[in-house]
Amino acid sequence: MILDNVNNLSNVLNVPVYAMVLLGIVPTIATIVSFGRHVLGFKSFSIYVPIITSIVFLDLGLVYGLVVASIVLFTTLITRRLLIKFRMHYFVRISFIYTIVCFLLFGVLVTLSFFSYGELLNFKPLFPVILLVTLVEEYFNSVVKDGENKVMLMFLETLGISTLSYFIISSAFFTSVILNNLWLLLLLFPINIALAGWEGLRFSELSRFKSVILNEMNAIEAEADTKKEKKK
Amino acid sequence: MNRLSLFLKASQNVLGINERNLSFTKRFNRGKSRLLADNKYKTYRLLRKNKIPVPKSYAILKKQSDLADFSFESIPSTFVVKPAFGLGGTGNLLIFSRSTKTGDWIGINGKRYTENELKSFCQAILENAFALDFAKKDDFVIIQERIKITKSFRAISYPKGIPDVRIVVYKKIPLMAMLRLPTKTSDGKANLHLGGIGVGIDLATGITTSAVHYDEPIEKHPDTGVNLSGFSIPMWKDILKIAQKSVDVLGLDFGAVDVVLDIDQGPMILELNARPGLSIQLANQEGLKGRINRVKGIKPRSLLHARKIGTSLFGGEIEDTVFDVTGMQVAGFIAMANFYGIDQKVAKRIKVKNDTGALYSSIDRDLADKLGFDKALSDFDELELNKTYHDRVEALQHKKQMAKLVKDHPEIIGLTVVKSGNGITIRPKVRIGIEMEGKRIEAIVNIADRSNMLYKGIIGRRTLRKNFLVDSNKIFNRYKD
Repeated sequence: MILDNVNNLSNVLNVPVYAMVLLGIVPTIATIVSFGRHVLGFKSFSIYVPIITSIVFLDLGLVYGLVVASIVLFTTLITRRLLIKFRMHYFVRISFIYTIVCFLLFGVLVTLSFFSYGELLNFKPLFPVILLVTLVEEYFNSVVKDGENKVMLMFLETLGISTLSYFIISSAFFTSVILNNLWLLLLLFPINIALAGWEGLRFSELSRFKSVILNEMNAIEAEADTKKEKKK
Repeated sequence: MNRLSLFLKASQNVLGINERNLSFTKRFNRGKSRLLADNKYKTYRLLRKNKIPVPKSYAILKKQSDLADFSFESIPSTFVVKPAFGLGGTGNLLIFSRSTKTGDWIGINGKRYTENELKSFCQAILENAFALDFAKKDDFVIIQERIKITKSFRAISYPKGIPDVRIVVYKKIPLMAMLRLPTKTSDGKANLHLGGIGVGIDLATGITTSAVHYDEPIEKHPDTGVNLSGFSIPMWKDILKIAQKSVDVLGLDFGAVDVVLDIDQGPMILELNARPGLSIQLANQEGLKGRINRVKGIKPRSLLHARKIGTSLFGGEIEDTVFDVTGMQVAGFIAMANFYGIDQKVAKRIKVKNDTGALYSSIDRDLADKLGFDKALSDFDELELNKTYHDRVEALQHKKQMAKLVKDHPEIIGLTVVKSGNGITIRPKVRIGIEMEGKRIEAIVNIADRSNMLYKGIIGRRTLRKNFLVDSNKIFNRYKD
């Protein structure tokens, strides 16, 4: 029997459609993020942050997701700055930031409902928002290690790769073709195996090392020319 | 060749992060060596054991109780605090001096620290705030002496902060080197991603070539305005030597070594890295992979052999650049030259001295004979060419008498009175061709009796000018050329 429909499969296996789709989406996003990292050269935080962000985007919608993600990041950065002078334990520092982020989001919700956008929020499940909030610790550790400027850049690139996976997952191709032929997800194995051994320059490195490559091109040409002259 | 395939071929000479991580970190460096290089404390201990100079450690703080018992009063007032597992210079704190009034410690940019602030910084290190992601052990604090930079570096570097030399070594062979200079924006740190400047180095001579700041090519130091290329790094050979040795001791097959120069103690190893940063390619404007491919399969017999391979393969760019810019070829004090005389008579591979103390060039009588001047010179012999005069007037008079003889021999273009160590002599001048370091020029030289001399030819300033630059660093190599 050929399964050409998720519902059929769902009935046969007795697994809810939602679970199957979510379990299919996570490895797809993970693969997209790996591709973005090793082939395109996106400098996202860990693989965890872009996966969470992409799933939240799918659930909340792109605009709303971008807003919440930005609120979480900027609150983390600002609160960290404010707390820098005070001596406190690492965990307390993090929980302080969590508290402030949550209170701020609460404030945003209140404000939105005040301007009668409340109905809109009722449809949006709060769970994905909480998922975004849990990224505070990742952001915090990255700021300590790499500094604010680099974290901002990494955040932008994370948003970039998450938006890319958002568009791929929500595209007509993915929803109509892949989800109706779930066996296609098995292709993730060969794709990941191919990515595992990928040793070429990343796309971003081509522009970073542009001057070096141009220099090498000149050197190769000069070498070829001298060889020609010697033959003459 | 098609432009795209040329681009692809060229890009294969550049080492990217993917390839470095997969092929050059894991495959070449055994896990044990890698972990050793990540742990600065163990690295220092092993290097010290092998008599490789490293900065002195004032204190190692492994636990909270160590930190509680430690007092910054007990060590000299200038020092560096760093995490044992730190990566890329983050978490390093440089203390320059101590205020006599308040007793505060003064860091780079004049920031002041109290004892409590220093301790909370150490606390952050103990809480793994700066550790490498994959370091399994808990991080700890190393407090070590601050390097005092040498005078020559002061001319080129931002005065606060310590410049270092990074050398990438592949299977004992030095591949590429760069000078890392701190800037005002880098907080005195030399790491490139923190705002330090990377300056490429010619491996053979230790002279700087091109420079990058935040991956963009620059020519002058943004803080001091000093030209970054053409700077000669002091004690270059010693730096190369200890860099190679330390990589060898740690058992790394591919690694980067950071060497600092202390004004009193000379070159010292600051850090070893099993995952060298790739910006060194930008500083040198050349790909690491291309260089690796050139030494692939070579098994050096010794560290000296490996050093010779590295310096002869990856040096000499300076000379090419000098030639491109000035049209002048770089020659050493002693060089091999070919001489071209009358009727294409050639004397090949003569050892000559490029003497910037002499005005005229001069060649030996025997050599001149070989070049076809024998007939003319035999006539001069009758007139006592070898005679030395005691004063110049006498010599000039004699020269006038011989003027007629010069007219009879067109190959002799004139006579010259030369004062040398032996006294004053009259020498005939001839026009010959000289080929040195691959460049052929026409030159006027005088002929003297140099049979007892070591060099049968002396190239003086008149000939060198506008044709050759004499580099005292260039060492005579009888196998080359």
